[in-house]
Amino acid sequence: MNEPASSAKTLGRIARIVDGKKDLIRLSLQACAHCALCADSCFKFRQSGRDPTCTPSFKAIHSIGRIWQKRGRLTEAEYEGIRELIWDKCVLCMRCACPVGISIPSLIALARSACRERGVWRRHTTRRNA
Amino acid sequence: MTFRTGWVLAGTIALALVTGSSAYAQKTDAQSSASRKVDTQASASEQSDAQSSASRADALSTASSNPDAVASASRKSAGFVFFELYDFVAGPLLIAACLIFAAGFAWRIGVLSRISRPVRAGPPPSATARAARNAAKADDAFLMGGMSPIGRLRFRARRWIRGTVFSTSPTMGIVSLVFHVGLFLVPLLLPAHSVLLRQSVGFGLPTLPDPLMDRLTLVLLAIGAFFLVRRIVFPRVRALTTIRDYLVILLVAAPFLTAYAAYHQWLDYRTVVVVHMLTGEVLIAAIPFTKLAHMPFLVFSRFFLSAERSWRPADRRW
Repeated sequence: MNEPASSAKTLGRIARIVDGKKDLIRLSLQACAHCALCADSCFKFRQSGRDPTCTPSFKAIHSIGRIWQKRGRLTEAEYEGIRELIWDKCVLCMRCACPVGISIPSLIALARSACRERGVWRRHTTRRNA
Repeated sequence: MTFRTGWVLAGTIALALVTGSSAYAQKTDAQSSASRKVDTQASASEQSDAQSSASRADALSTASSNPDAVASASRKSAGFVFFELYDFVAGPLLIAACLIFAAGFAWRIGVLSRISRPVRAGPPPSATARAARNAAKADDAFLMGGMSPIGRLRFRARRWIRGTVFSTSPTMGIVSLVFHVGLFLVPLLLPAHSVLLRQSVGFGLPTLPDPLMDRLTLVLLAIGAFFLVRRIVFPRVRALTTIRDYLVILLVAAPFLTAYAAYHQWLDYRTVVVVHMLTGEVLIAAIPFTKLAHMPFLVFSRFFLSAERSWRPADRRW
């Protein structure tokens, strides 16, 4: 990349992405009852020995929720954590079922868009399976 | 919160306070004149037991012709501050809470309809899709043919709950259903609330017997405790939990806890009732602005969002 990852231009693009959907993000995050009933609909959750960080709502809150709160001003390590949450722990199979009706896949897809602007994306050889 | 929304909210709160305080002023007038009558009757009977009812009526009329003295006397009584607070909580604060709830609810639904779009009319289902659906129906009919009537009912129920929260987490599904139904049923169908409603607006709602309501309140409190324990014990729920989640559980439980205490005359009844009304009003007003906003969200997603399990009209999408 020609420009540093945390430049004002990058931050502006991330802000544009999250601002375009700010009502959806804010309302979804506020309406989430934190009931964790979506966990059992996630095959990643069930296959990972019920890893609590694989709960769909956890993935959404700790990816797009953080990006939205800080407007993309997160550290490298935080983006790395988000990358693991929304690429390694989610395949966007869209099977997560929220009893309230929150569209978790669209939130995670939005987080992916924001992360791509920052140069954070899917790594096919992660440290874990390299 | 956008600029415009902030103004709408501020306006609603101002309107609520104005409406409420005018109602409050009228009510305190009525209240003080009523208490004046009670005071004069009491003092009249204290003065002399032998006095006839006619002279008592005289005392009443002279007292009402000289209200300032009686009002100052009643202001000295210990219960005055309590009656002030009671009237304020029962009158303007209730109106304000309901108005804030209504405005917040409308705001949430407005935002939801703004960020969703109407569904485009899709093509009619293809012949293959229709054939598959008919085959599935025929399969079900064949299976049900060999069942007893009760077996058929169970089969239908299983088909109906398949893929819902009742099949993935049956305990939480049932407990949560009972809890949410109870949250609306108990306050609305309580005989005591119906009496108050009839006194203030002239009509009441159908009621269920008091002992049943008493037990239902206990059930609701027990389920609240279950939610709390679940939040602490299960790692997947604990990972999502913030301090707000505990506060919301407390907020929802508080009116029911105080209601139970008031019904059983625990502690000082009048204080408990005021706390009961206060917490109930805070709860009502907080619904659109806390995570209890899942209430308007659920109304929208269940009725207006086109999805597998939504009900009519279901003509919108994200």
